[in-house]
Amino acid sequence: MATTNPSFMNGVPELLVLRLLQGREMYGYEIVQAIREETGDVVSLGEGVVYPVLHTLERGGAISSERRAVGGRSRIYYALSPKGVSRLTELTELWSRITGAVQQVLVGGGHAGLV
Amino acid sequence: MQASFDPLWRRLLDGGVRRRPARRYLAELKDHLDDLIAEERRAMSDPREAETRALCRLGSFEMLADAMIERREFQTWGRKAPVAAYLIAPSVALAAITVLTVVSVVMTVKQLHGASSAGALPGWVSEFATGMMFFSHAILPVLLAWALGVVAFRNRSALLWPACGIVALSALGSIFHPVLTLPTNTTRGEVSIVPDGIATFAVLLAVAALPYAALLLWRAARERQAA
Repeated sequence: MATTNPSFMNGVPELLVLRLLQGREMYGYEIVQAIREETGDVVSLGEGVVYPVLHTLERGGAISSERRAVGGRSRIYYALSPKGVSRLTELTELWSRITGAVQQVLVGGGHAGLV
Repeated sequence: MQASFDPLWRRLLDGGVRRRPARRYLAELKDHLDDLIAEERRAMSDPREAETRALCRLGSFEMLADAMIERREFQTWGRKAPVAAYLIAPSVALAAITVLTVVSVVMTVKQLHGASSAGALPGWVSEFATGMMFFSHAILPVLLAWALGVVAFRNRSALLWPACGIVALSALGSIFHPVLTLPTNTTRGEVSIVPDGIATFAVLLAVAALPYAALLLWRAARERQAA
């Protein structure tokens, strides 16, 4: 029997950030705007809390950062690393399993007939 | 006028976040806030309202601080393991440097004693040996205590363990006072440990704790003034 990660909700920002960085390099503000746009504002949080997530991912080697001067401003761009690609695959599989299981319960759950 | 991030900085350090990641976090938050203000200004004419909305979108300082503080990888050793950082490590460092000092003095004396045909040591050796022993039991604990105090002050660590570390260093310095008896033509040299009295402990403690206490008082006064 597969084990479920009890803190899977904590991995959602991490999953979103890795998935967005798979497409292209971005800086923090861009990442947050992309999360808002791509989730249709369903996932919205204090925008600043994305940075601890980014710093943790960078520390774990999943992403790398580079400071660049763009339009007279210095920005830190983040990019996915090979380690981040495998982490993204792992998290995506886990998330698919969890959402699939939840969906199964919601659609045809054994207890639905009791209502 | 842009918001001051000083309260967030203090909150991060009080929460045990290391200065470097905290500094980087704040720099990125400031950049993010600039982008948010620019975006809000494009949407509305009142700059004050735009800044308020931008700050609201960035998140409250409490939430921003908690997001960083809860990540253990960004915390100082003083927060993660205060006993090890402020009590054990300085005491071990004092013991190790003292042993190295004594061993190096003994080796020097042996070398000089062996090289001298008559077995008599040069006149300066006695002063050198006494000075080195004084360094290891009196100067070294004070220097380590000062360093500990500065680190604890910079990291805004809670008072308890840094204070215990300073007391421990002063106690070790006053208890383990190495005394070197130099060899002569007829007698062998020896190293002995002669504990000092409570007076030495009190003097060492006063000198060791003074800068840390002064820094804490200065910060408390400054923050009272700012409030």
